[in-house]
Amino acid sequence: MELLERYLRAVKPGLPKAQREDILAELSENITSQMEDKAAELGHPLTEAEQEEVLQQFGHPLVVAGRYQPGAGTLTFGRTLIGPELFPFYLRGVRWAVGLAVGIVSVINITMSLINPRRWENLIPALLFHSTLQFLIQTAVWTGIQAHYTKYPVSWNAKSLPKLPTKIERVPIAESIFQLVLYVLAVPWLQAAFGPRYATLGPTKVSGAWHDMYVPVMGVMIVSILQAIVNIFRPDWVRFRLISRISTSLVMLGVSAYLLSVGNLVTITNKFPMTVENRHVAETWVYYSFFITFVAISLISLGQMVFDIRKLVKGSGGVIGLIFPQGADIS
Amino acid sequence: MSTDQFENLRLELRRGCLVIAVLVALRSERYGYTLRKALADQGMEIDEGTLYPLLRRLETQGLLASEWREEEKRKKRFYRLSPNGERTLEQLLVEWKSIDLSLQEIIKESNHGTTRTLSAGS
Repeated sequence: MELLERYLRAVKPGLPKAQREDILAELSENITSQMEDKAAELGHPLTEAEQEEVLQQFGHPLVVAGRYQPGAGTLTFGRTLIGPELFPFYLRGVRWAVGLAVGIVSVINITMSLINPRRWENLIPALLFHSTLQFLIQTAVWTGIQAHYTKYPVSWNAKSLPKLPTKIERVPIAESIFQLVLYVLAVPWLQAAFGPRYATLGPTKVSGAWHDMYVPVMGVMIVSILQAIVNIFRPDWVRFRLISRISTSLVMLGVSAYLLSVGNLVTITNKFPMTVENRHVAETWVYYSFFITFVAISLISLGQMVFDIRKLVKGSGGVIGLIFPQGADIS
Repeated sequence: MSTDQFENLRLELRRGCLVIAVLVALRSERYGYTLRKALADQGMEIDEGTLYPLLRRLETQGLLASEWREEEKRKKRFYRLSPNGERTLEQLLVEWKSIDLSLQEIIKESNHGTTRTLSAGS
């Protein structure tokens, strides 16, 4: 029944979350009964080809899952552009894309308006533009999928279902070693930048705010180095790495937010001969370089944190499993 | 009429009938697969992808009640008509009979009309 398991795994992500396990158990039971009936009729256990035939008849996993979605509707413009099976996925796609666009545009514009208050004026037009753009892109993509599905309704094959994962998840040792080397090499550089108050880096002098972040930044380094060492010896401690990464991403978000809130992060020292005007221009450019870097770090940390939290919750059998894990194994 | 057009109209016609058929069949308790077989045996074929989500919807609407129970060493979800479902089914059947009678009258009248027109023509 490996094929049935693969089929159910393909249906699962498209089902409504609250009823997911219940629907899967029921589907599994109904398909099993159907296969048993067919086997009794044929007088032998079903071959893989015969099992495929049953699943094929049952329908494409995406379509089957779509029928369980509440609030099934259609998108009609003269004719039906998106049918009831795909409509819930289209709605979900629109919600995600528009939500993401609103989030990113808001973060960028709000942060920029801290430097230039006139940027506030751009917020609403930018939100409207990007939301509409995402809505149109999603509508075009899902209309294309629907058109394809209408034209080739049987263009799926049970054989093409993804295989079941066979190995236990592990942190690759090479990845842990690479992380260890990278972080150990970064420590002296960070020590020079964050250690002394008003450290000098080449022709620039960093603001005192950098030193304020010395302890959290070094804490992130130490935790990351320790995590890499632990994972070299215990690559099966995947959850340990996730928890460690979530905490370091959270700290890095805080560090970036703090440094972004400070005005000038660096000043050009007198060792570098230039006019007052040129110095001002150079400082502005350096400032924007740091600004973009810290915005990028914030976005990467946020993305990493969301990804890790989702993985942690999923791997623990949902939120309940996370709060009350079975067994004491930290992996 | 194109095949697509006919198919769309046929599906529309069947949609309401399927609900009545399912509700009637669930006057006695059944689980998904046996319900589908029972309906198929009576000439009402429904594909699985339509029937099983329909059962969930009818349950959400309070017309069906269900419970997981063990049968032949396997857990199965059994559905049956709820008291609310029974009342609704009675009303639907009355409505169905009235539609059926009206349709028969309309068809009879239309056939008479056609015959009269043809006789007058000849």
